[in-house]
Amino acid sequence: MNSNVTSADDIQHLAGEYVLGTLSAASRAGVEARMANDAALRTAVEQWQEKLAPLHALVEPVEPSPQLWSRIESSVTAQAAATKASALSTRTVQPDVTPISTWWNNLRLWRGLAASGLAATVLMGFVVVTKLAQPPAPGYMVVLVGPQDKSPGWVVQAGTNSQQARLIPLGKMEVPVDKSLQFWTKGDDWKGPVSLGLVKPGQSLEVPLDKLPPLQPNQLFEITLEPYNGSPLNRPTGPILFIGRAVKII
Amino acid sequence: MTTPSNLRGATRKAGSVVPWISNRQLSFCGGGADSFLPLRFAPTFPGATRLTDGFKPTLPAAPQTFDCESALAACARGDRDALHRIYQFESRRLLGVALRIVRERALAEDVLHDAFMNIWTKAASFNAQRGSALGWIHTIVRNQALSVVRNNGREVSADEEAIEALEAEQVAHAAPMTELFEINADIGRLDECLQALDAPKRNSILAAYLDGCSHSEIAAKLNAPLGSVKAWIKRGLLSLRECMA
Repeated sequence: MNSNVTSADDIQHLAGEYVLGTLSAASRAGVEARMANDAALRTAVEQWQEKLAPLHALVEPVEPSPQLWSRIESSVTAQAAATKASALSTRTVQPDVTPISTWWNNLRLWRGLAASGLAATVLMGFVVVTKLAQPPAPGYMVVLVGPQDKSPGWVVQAGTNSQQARLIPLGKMEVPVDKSLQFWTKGDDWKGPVSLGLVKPGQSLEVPLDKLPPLQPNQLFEITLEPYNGSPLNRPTGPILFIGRAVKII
Repeated sequence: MTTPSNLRGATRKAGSVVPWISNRQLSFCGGGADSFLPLRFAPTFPGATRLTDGFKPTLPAAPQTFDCESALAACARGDRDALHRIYQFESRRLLGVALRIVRERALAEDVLHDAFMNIWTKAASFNAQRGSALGWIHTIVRNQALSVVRNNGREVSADEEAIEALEAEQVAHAAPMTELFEINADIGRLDECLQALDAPKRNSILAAYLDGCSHSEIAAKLNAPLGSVKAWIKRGLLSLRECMA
């Protein structure tokens, strides 16, 4: 499915196939990312979900094994303990007001960000120890982590008043030939994300920040998978691969 | 029909060639695997055993006294008992839904585990304006199951034997397409709208939704060209939308 479909029929068709489940993993992820910003698509998906939901009545129920609930319960307990430790993950949600509410409401994401905060702390320690001899430490640091597995993939460094940020890869990754990685940022009070340009896997990038408001603590950074040469729109259209928030370094 | 050049030597009988099969993959989606799955509707694929013969629904209409919406709201406040209540009320149906899609008992339970974790962590994002609480929960389970089968690439390569079997089947059943699913529960208006579709469209849509089949899996299952399946689904969706508007 291309991400440029616009007609009402195309949106209905895409939403219908998505709800039916016929799309590939990549297309599913694309639709989910796009729903975050596309109210028409989101509404169409919700309508299809409601229309087709009665079909579940056709499925014969199956008794779960007795251990299943215990498994869920212990995972919930472990997760609740982790949540308690993180103020970020209890951030309240904003169901309808913002078009980015889908990922905004994704608690998993916020947990990831909390994890990235921790990772940033660890990395900061490392930087402080190894760069003691150097001029003052950078003013901000962001660790970009995978939204699912929370593994750190990139680090962003920027001085407090710096006009530049540096994006540093922590590892190698493969990107399909017909896709590009795109780097975005969004301050808490901005209307939407702003593109910071395309990123090559495994390569550092100097990003000019002079056209943007000064960096703020907690400012969001993310890398998304976009069509080749970047999103056709002025916002992300593909799945988020790495995400993190700026942490101020003292 | 033209004779395919790359059927890898599979024996063909006159008039039984399936030119599109050569590069396609056959799948476990549907087919023989159906026989061990609990069905409220039967595969009526030619030769399949009708599992619904003598079937009587074992579940009465779900007791709607359970307030799923309130339970979700309680989950959002961190009430673990509320999550347990949802589990007690709906886990059997949810496991049925997951099992039909992933087809392995242990995998289906993993799906349910992950889905309940999602329900727990995302409960606060549920918005009653946008649909029912029970529908929201089912969507989470389906999405989890679909992500498992789509990411794992459930398909297997077509082997010669499978191609021959498919061809033989095509010879035996070249007639109008039979129903793969029998609707044995009250699903309201959707039933009428599904009945208004022709069998290929109805089969394609039900195979996708209930069994989590991809386009190519449906093509294999229905023994039809991929392009036809895509067209059936597209037109079927359009008809359903108009019918249910």
